[in-house]
Amino acid sequence: MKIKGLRVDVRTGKVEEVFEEISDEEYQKRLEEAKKAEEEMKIRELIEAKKREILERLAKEELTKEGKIEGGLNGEKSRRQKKI
Amino acid sequence: MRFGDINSVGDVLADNILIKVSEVEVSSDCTYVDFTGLDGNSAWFYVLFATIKNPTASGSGYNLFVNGDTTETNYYNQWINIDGTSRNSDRENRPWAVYNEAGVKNFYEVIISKDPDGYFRYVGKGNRREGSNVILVLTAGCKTATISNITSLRIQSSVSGAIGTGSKFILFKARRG
Repeated sequence: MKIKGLRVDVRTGKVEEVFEEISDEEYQKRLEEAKKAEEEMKIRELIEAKKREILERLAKEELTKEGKIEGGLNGEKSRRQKKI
Repeated sequence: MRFGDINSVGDVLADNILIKVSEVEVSSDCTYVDFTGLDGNSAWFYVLFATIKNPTASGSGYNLFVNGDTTETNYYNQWINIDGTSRNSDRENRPWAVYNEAGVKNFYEVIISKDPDGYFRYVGKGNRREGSNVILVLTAGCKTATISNITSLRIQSSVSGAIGTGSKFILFKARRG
């Protein structure tokens, strides 16, 4: 398979369209690697979102136990704020 | 055939600021853009501005290769994505300076150099996705072996044709040689 590129010679300013031949095997390999990377990125994002959700819940529970907040960050006032 | 708007060959803008080496606007989807005829020993540092559209149906990384060495495993990169309050990061055995999900556009600034011992290095910052999904991306890369000069740079997508029409690149050098 031919892949298309642009070659820019910065000394002359000439830009030309160029082609490189890669084997079908190499093309498939690149495609599979890209798909794998995409999948890994999605999984990583889901894991990070879940980690954050769990940590935030635990942190709220601990702060509530310690009496520093009453119910968290979503519009509910902390004990200190209520006193004011 | 139109290759895009070209305004190159060392436009000297003014003293003490970056000197434009070359600019390219991609007029039809392609897989790589090669800048040849560079002299990193003279320029010391290059700065690449890039805005890339991925027109394919697959996510694609964009490798930054130096001196025609297109073997991914000869490079490492470290990246961090900041997506809302979430942060993702990893180190990979390839020189992805940029990444785009399918159909996504991005904007990046990448500073490129060779360190005093001859290691090719780059650091980039940019963003991708649109509107409320916008994310901040920081990347850093290094080659595993030393080089004697930077004579060419290649931005190559991991998926064929992932540098879409309208993608733009401007390469600057930091020093007149």
